[in-house]
Formats: sequence, C-alpha cells, structure tokens
Amino acid sequence: MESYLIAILTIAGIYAVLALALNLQFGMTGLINFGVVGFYGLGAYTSALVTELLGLPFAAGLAAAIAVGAVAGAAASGLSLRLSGDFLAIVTLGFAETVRLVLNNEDWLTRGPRGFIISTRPVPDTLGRDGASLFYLGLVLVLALVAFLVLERLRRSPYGRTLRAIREDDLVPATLGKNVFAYRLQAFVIGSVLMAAAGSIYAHYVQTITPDNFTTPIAILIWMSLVVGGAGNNVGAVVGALAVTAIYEGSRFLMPFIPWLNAEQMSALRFIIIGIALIAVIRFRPEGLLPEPVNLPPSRTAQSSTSQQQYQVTGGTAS
Amino acid sequence: MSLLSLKSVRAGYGSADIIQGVDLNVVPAETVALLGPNGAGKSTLLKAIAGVARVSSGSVTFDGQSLTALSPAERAAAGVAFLPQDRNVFRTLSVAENLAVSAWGCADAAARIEEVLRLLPNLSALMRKPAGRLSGGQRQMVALAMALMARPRILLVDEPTAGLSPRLVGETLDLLLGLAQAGLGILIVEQNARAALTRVQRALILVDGKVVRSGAASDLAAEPDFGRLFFGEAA
Amino acid sequence: MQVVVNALASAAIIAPAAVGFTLTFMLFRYANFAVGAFVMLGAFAAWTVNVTAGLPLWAGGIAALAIGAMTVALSDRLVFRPLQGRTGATLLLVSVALSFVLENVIRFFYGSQIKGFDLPLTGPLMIGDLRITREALAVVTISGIAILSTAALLTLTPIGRALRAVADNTSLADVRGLPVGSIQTVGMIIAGALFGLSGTLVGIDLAIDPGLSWAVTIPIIAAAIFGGLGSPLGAALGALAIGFAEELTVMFLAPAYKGAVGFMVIVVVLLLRPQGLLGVAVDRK
Repeated sequence: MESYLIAILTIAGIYAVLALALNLQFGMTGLINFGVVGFYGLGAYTSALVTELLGLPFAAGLAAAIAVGAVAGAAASGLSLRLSGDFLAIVTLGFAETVRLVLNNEDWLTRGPRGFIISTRPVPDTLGRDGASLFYLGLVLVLALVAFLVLERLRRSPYGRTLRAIREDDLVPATLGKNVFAYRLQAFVIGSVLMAAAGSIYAHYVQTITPDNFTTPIAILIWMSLVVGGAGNNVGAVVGALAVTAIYEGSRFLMPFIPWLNAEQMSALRFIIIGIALIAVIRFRPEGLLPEPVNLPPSRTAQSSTSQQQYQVTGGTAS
Repeated sequence: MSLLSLKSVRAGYGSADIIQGVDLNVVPAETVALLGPNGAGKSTLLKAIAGVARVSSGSVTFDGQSLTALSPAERAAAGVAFLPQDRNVFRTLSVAENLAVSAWGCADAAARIEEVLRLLPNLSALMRKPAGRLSGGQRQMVALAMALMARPRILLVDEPTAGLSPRLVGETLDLLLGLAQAGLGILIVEQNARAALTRVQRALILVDGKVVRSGAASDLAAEPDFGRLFFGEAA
Repeated sequence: MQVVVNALASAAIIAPAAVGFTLTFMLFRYANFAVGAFVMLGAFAAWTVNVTAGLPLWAGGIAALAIGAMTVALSDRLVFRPLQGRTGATLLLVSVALSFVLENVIRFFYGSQIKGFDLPLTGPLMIGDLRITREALAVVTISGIAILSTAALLTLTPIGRALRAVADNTSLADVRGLPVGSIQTVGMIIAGALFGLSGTLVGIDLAIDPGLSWAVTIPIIAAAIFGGLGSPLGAALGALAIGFAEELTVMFLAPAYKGAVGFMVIVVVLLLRPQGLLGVAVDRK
C-alpha cells in the first residue's frame, strides 16, 4: 500500500509539472497545446535513447530531452503562432499524432509497441528498492517545486503580466511596442521544455516506455488538471493534477464493486466520466477550483501608463 | 395613437447603461431624427429598440405591444425594421439573394421583391452582383431594400449617409424619408444634423444618454446657438 | 494512373466530413475537433445495422446518416450552444473532451476489437492495368453525389441561402428576422449527416475501431484548412489534395505514416499559403 502511494505521488508530481507547463502556455498566455503528449513522449524517448544507446548518464539524457523539447516547441509554435489559435491547436495535435506514429513504426530505434527498456536511473545504487522509489519521488518533487517556483515568479513578474495582456487581447500589447510573436514563442517553448523534461524523468522512473504511454488519455488528464485547478493559477495547476490523479487512480478501487464490467469497460467508463466532468467544469465553473489571482491588473483597462513603463523595463531583461 | 413608445428606457451593453432614461414617441408616417454628439448613445438607443442592445429598465412598446421580451427576429416580424450602419448586407450573397433571404417565411417573397424594386428601381441592374462588391451608396440601397422586404411599419435607420459623398447624402435622405408618405414611421440617427433637420418633422437631441432637447425640426434648426450647444463647432 | 484512382478513393472518404467541418466552422466560427468521433460513431452505426442486424450496407449507411445528424444536433444543443460567446479556445477544448467521451462510449459498448462490414466479395474491375475495386467505385460515386447535393442545397434552396446568410453575418440575420437558432440547427444536422456518411465510407475502406476517431480527425481538418475554411467546395478540393498526398506518401514511406500526411499538408499550407486554397485569410489581425 505504501509503495503504491509513493508510486501515485510520483506520477502526480510528473503530471503536476505537465499541468504547470500547460498553465504557462494556455493558462497564462492563451496558447492551445493539444500536443502535450507529443512533447512529453519526445522527451521520454530522447532521454532513453541518449542514455541507453550512447551510454551517457541521466543528466545528459535530461539535457538532450530539454534541447529537443525546445526545438520541437519552437517549430510547432513558430509555424502557427501568427495565425488564429485554431491553427496552433491542430498543428500540436498533428505533431503529437506524428510522434506517436514514429515511435510505433521506427522499431529499429524505438523498439515500437514492444517498449523501450531503460536501465539508467538517477538513483544511488546503494539504496534498496523502497529507498530508490522514495529517492525518485524526492527527485520528482524537486523538479515540480523548481518548475512551480520559476513559473510562479514569472507569473508575478511584469513579464507574466505582458503574457496575460497578450492572452486577453494581443492588439493591446502590440500597440505598446511589444513583439507579441516573440513573447508567445518564448512562453510556448518554455512550456514544451518542461514537458520534455517531465518525459525524461518519467522514462527513467518507469524504465519501460511504450508509445501508448504518450497518448490522448494522458493529454486529457493534464488538460483536466489545469481546467479543474484553475487556468492561470499555478497553485491550481498543482492542486488540479493531484486531484485528477487521485480521482483517476482512486476509481480503480471501485472496480470490485461493479464486477459485471470487464477491465476494458471499466477503463472506458473512467474516461467517459473524466471527459464529461471536464465539459461540466468548463460550462459551470470555468474559473476552476482556484480562480486566477487578481492581485495583478488582469484587464486592459488596468494597463495604465505606469504599467507601460514596467513593460519597457522587462522587455530588455526577459527576452 | 403612437406607433412606437419608449418610457424611461435605460439601456446599454454588459452591465453599463449608456441610455439613461429616455422617453420617445413616433406616430405613423412621422419622421423623427435622433441627433447628438458622438458617444451620446444614439445608435445604442436604436439597437435597444431593435433588440440588439439590452434594455435594463423602462418600457418599449410597439403598436401597444411590449417589445422587451421579444428577440430581434420577433421584433422584425412584428414590423420593426432596423437598418444597421455597417455590415448591413450579406456580403457573400448576391443582391437578389439578400432580398430573398430577408423575406424568410413569407409566402409572397417574389411579390415583395417586385414591390421593393418599384421603390428602388436602380437595384434591378444589380441583382446578380455579390453585395460585397457594391459601392457604398449601392450597398446602402440594398440594405434599405432588405429592411423593406418585411413590410415594416417603423424603420430604425442608423447613420445611413456615413461615408457617402455630399451629393449622395441629400439624395439618400430624401429617398429614405420619402417612405414615410406611405405611412411608415421613421426614426433616424444622422450625423449631418443640418441635412436631417431640413427633412424630418421632429428631432430629439441626445447628450450622454439623455434627451436634452426635443421639438419640431424647424424650431431646433432656428436656434441661433444650436451648433455650439450640442455639437461643439462641428455642426 | 493507379495512384489517381487510389487518391480519389481516399479523398472521397474524408470529403463529406471535411465539407461538414467547414460548414460548422462557417456557422459558428469554432473548430469542432470532435469531427473524427462523429465519423467513428457513424461507422459503428452502419456496422451495427449491417453486421449485428444483418441488413444490407445501404441501410447501415442511412442509419449512420441519422445517428450522425442526431448526435451532432444533440451535442450542439447540450454542449456547444450553452457555451456560445466563450472563446474559440474553450469550444475547441470542449470538442476534444467530447471526442474523448464519444470514443470511450463506443469502447464501453463495443470494445476495442477491430470490426469490418459484411460485404459480398467482388472482384475488381480491370481497365487495362488499372485496378478499380467495386467498393472504391461506389465510395467515389456516393461521396460525389453527397457533395454535389450539399452544394446544390447551399446555393439553390431557400434554406441553403439562409445558412449562407447566417454564416456570413449572424447578427444581421437576426435583425432581418431569420430564425438563426433553427437555421444553425439545420446546418448541424446536415454536417452530422455528412459525418455519418464519411463514417460509412471509411468503414468500407478501413477497419472500424474506436481509435478511428483520431486517425481521421487530422486528415479531415487538414482538408478543410487546405480548402480555406470558408467554402464547402474548397473542403472537397482539400480532400482531393490530402488524398493525393497520402497516396504519394505511401509510395515513398511506410503506409503507417498515412496518418501523418494531413499534418504535413497543414504544415506546408501554413508555410506557403495560410489563407488556404480558396478561402480568405483567417489571420488574427
């Protein structure tokens, strides 16, 4: 039971990082990324290939995952960010699907659906099985904490305020002399980098990855986490990830009570409930559990001449 | 018997009231101009009558029937025709289609088109053209024709001469206001205050969402400091 | 030549759905990513009537049209209409969630096993070296008829005219006395029937399983984007382009990558001609 709890917490921590990354992209900047699993999976496989095929340590795998995440994020967003949000949505969705196809079909490299086995772990050999899982949980929590602190700091900074202004109405910051495109690209790339890093951590945690680990259900869970927690709110993203993981994993324990359903039906039912809940939250409580903090001027009316000055100051430091 | 009657109407968009208590009456065959500076709420008042802007309090009755609970489409069916200032034709449809679609649900659409073409004969030559390709004046005529397809009893016209050449301003207003002779009530918002006052019977001057002056058009036009009082130096 | 035949058959499958997607976009200005799920639902409706009930496939096709129209109209009422006025991003997200729900509803009742229609075995027609299966011929014919009928409906009938008017300018349509809500519902029913039709056609060509929804979503949206999102006819031409791109890909890459072609086409369109083939720019500013 205890090891099960540690496992769930580890996964929840990884989902929290994904939700935080998505919060930067969608919650704070308004960019739709339906390809969360694409960046996540790309990070996982990159890290796996670098450590297993090249024999490099975990840190190199993580670094490679981050680099690939940055390049993929820049490519996907660079292509479509000048157009309406729908295009970014379809491009990211197509990107994730293409990643999945490549992972499934390039057996020589990824071993396809049979799965890729990873022996490298960023865990001291001296630890036992339980110690290793605890150590790994700690590692995930450190990553989640770092991601949270960095993003929270960013949200409170004038840079974050500019992102929100872009989300509300991209014409306003454009007239203030901000390069809207560059801001969006940066936000998207930082998010993609975090997702790829989460993928790397995940890969070395589970040690066997298959393309199925990076498909739509995970993307829906992450979106659910963000929307339920409260888009725009970093605490909300983390709380949402914990809540969604708890509900999703917890519903496993319902299985014995509905024995007439087979495993497939049970899993389908859980996804149906999650999907309907997501729609219901969007309809009835669009701000989520924890609404976006309003301590900063959220709307365009608040962008007075004083904040214009702040914009200019950050323009130099942030970019 | 008044055709359109507004009592203490407050109206606007979202939670803000732009119109702050307006009374207004239009009788059949009457032409009334709504004048005032930019931002006074003239267009908002028309939109409130048409059902496009929200009425927060007060009453809007048309022919003794309350309009406030009706949708824009229901108001159109009741005989209230709103002619918006811009985006007032379906740009991707031909002129003929614009007219036909404006007679939705009418069994006698063909007869109505003929009727409207008799009033606006210039349109006959444009019937097959996409409305988006027309000149400003032509588009305004098509928009008017579309409004007339429903055989309205009151016409709410929002700045019909905006963007037209000075020569067309007079022509357009003459044509529009001439329709009142057939019994149509007309409420018109017009920037060219002088041009409007020489052609309508009555006028209301709206400033900051309130009627500050109303009366016969000739009386208002005769006021020596009319322009300075209500329009700055512009009028 | 064989490539042309195959491309035409591929295009014919997704074309009705691409037309339906474009119609939805024109009427509501949001991209309904659940389009693949509606197609998948249509395929299962046709399969149920054809295999479970043992009726001929044309009866299954009619059931697919009906189920498609009903589901789309219902989802419009229950899910999308109440969210009118929210951002496009919200509606997009909801459509993905809806797609996920529908996919799992089918998985719940039918499982994940691959299914196929009960079709009589017929030999292909041979014209010289050209191999044309009777199924492909039927798919292309039916799809062609459906698209021409939709085009005729939109251009020649009063309801088609009203649909175009509402798509052009909703608030003006309202002011001119058109029953906008009902007209939009009619549009959704037409789009839903087209999704159902694509579902039946896809089942003739490919295996039917719940995962079908994601496999067809991207090619359908790619075809619509290629067509400019403002013209149903453009969407049909976009489908042709996707069909050709898919067949050419199969010649050079593993057939498995057919699914990525739509994505590649979108990327190329975005790089070269963001306004699509026929449509006007869908630019932000």
